[in-house]
Amino acid sequence: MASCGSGGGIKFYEFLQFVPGLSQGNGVAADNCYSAWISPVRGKAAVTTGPNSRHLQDDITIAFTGSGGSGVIAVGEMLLRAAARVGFYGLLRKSYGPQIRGGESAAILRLAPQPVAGFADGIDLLVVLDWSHFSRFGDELILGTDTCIIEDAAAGVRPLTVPAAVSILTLDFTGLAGTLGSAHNNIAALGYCGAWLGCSAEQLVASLNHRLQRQDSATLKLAAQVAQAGMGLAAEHPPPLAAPQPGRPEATRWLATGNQLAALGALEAGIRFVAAYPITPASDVLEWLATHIDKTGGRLVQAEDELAAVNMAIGAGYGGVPAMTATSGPGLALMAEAMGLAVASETPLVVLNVMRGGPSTGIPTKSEQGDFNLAVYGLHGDAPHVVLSALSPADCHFTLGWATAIASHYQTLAVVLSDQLLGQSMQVLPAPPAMPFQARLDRAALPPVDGEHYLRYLDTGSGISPMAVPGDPGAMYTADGLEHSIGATPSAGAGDHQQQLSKRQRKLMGLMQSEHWAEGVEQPEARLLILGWGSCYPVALEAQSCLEAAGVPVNVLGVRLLAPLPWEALQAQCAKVSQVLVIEQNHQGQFARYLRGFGLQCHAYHRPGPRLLTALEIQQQVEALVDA
Amino acid sequence: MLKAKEYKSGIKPIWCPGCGHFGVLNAITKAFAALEQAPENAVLVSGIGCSSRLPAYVNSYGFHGVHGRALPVATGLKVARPELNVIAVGGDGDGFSIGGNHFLHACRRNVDLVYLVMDNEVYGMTKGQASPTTPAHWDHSKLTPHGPQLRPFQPCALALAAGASFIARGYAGDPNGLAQMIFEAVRHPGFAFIQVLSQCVTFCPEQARWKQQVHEEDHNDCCDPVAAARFLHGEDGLAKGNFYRNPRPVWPPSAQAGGAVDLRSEFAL
Repeated sequence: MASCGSGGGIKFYEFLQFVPGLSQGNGVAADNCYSAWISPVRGKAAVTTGPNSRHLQDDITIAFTGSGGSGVIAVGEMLLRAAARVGFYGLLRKSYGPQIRGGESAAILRLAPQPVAGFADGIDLLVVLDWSHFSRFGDELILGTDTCIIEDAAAGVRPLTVPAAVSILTLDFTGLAGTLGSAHNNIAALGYCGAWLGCSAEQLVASLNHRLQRQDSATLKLAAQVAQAGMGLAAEHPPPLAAPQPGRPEATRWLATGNQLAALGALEAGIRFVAAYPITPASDVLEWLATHIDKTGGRLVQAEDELAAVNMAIGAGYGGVPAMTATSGPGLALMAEAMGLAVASETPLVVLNVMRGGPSTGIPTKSEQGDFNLAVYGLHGDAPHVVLSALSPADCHFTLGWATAIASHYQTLAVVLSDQLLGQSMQVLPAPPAMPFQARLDRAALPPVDGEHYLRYLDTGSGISPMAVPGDPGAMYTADGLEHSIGATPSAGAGDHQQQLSKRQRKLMGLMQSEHWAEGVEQPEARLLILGWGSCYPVALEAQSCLEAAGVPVNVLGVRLLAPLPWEALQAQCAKVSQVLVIEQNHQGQFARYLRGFGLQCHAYHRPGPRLLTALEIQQQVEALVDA
Repeated sequence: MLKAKEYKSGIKPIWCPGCGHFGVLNAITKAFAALEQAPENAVLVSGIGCSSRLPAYVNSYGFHGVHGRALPVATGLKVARPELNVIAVGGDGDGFSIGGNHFLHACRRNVDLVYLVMDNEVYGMTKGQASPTTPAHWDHSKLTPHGPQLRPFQPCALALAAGASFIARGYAGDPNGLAQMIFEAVRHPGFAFIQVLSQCVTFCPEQARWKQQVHEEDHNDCCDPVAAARFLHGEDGLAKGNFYRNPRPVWPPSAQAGGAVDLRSEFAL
């Protein structure tokens, strides 16, 4: 229902089919649990062929706005949970300022009868609890003339920027809650919207109880009364908008954020040590791990700073225990020196970077893709390492698992780039299949680590050297950030340096055989490829749907393996079309510059956050290119 | 059972003749012999500097990381692999300047580690700059031609304030005494800090006088932080001995039960 460009009709793509084939010959552990769940397509890239014709009949986008602390994020989460119980799929993103209380805050919710992986451009229903900070969202919440606004009677003065043509319904959520002795107008709004979506009182109360589980029973009872009063209001004054219809999902569904799914993926793939230093928007990854890793026998340490965090993870990794840390841009910059140490000492290490606006403190609560250069180029010296990007909230699970397996198999650093949009969005998704990856030091296939002739940094055919861990008798060595010989003796010799640099580069070439490097959707007669990474991939798929409706078939590819880049495989994808448009959410077009360095001829469209890239603007870019 | 010399790796140290670190290396190997340490179950972790080269010279596992971060690496390793004997080693610049924050938090955290700092009051590897423990008027460095003009850092007093549960000072010129100190530090449950006066004959030849100046001040039974603080704020920095020993609960508290767990059900609708 939300506007989606000039082409009209709205389309929808399925929850990302993110595992269309298992690893083949790259040595990364895998089993066949995904086989019943995934697209059967196999090949050099995980690309599905055919129309992106999953038309969304009944999607709707609802936004709640108010001041920080007024509970709009809570309403969004509770409504998503209740709507999911009715049968909707959905996706919720949170937009808020840096203030803990009193700033601006918004929850944007897209619901549909089928899985939802990305956001629509416009808003169908805007629920305003407080207008006072609305202008700060001026360019993030796009109101169309067909947007319907429900405002609380106590929301204050409506800004002049609100289009005159929109329909506005004023309802007294505050007064309604007040008559029951509650200050929670947000709960009244929850009841109102929930009733309109077809939620029962029971479903709404279950959502309330889940969210407010630490409150006492009197508070819960009052909240339930306020929600039911809100439901009554919906019966009297429904929104002037047709209610969407839920689906009838059969599969087991989950409700989780990208950050939670990343954390789960890491644990399921075998991470057993986490070093943590809080930073928005990565803290919730660490907080989830803190409350769950103990159950696996693992450990989490809150470090004194990011320098300590990354070095603690390296210490654990050296000890043979799969280890990770999670951070955001400034923290990644602090970790950069030790990331070079992980490369040189060949210590397995996973670093999850949940990107926010930068540089410096930047816009810490909002999304951007500005850390590409830091992740790919930020290490000192010649330091080949792995950089992955998660392609949806749900894909955070898969990508963290893959990163964990890569780090231990290749004894190297794997950086995963997520962002605030992926990490803090909450998604209703089909339950992921069992984790196909496991962290494993591949010791069986390598020369023995015991005996007198143990050579830690032996230059093997694969480039992967036999890694002993403390406790292995007869294989004592000192892991070193100093350049070293094959026997781990410090060396300043040109020959040793050349040999170790080449070995560390060569060992990652095994990744070139993996089909997990990208995901995509191809269409017949496509003449143009939209190429994106990370959270731009769902936007590209949304644009593809809109373009299809406008009669412009395009291919879409989302790159998961950013470095080392499988350049030949990417070239093959690009050769299927006559034009390539690279899209990303940053100011400089960092990914496009990287690709041009390989020799790719491409157009680039990029814009900084926090205003998210929209399908409409990508559609317009594509149409301009096709017309030209 | 290995003899002390069998705990040497055979790699020739890069240190200058007369360097105190040779004495420290000897003390560590003697302590390992006394502990009957299985070489594969000991890990020496270091940062950067002359003294941080030590792990390669010992017949055990080692990790030679980046400047200032020996303690975080050691902490991660010990927490992940609690059965190992983990000893962090390094110098005064590595431990008290670039790594100063980690020193404070390692004392506070009380993970069961030994931290041995070879203090020669100078950055040797970068050719003789002032460190946090350099005397205020030491003017031998081109970087601080008038001396650092700062009060030297007091590592033992600081360790006490930050919560270290074992604090001692040894002297490289007394490897037997130092070996005994390391032995006790390894046996101590919790974070054990040993400052070792380890002379740099190249950049601080005046430290040759330590042989006469270092004196015994054993407070082996001192578990009173106030008494220890009074002593540490009054001494001349050249006393050697055990200054403080007061075991308190180590971190992390206890081993976890592992095994198959349900991490998924909380997400199901």
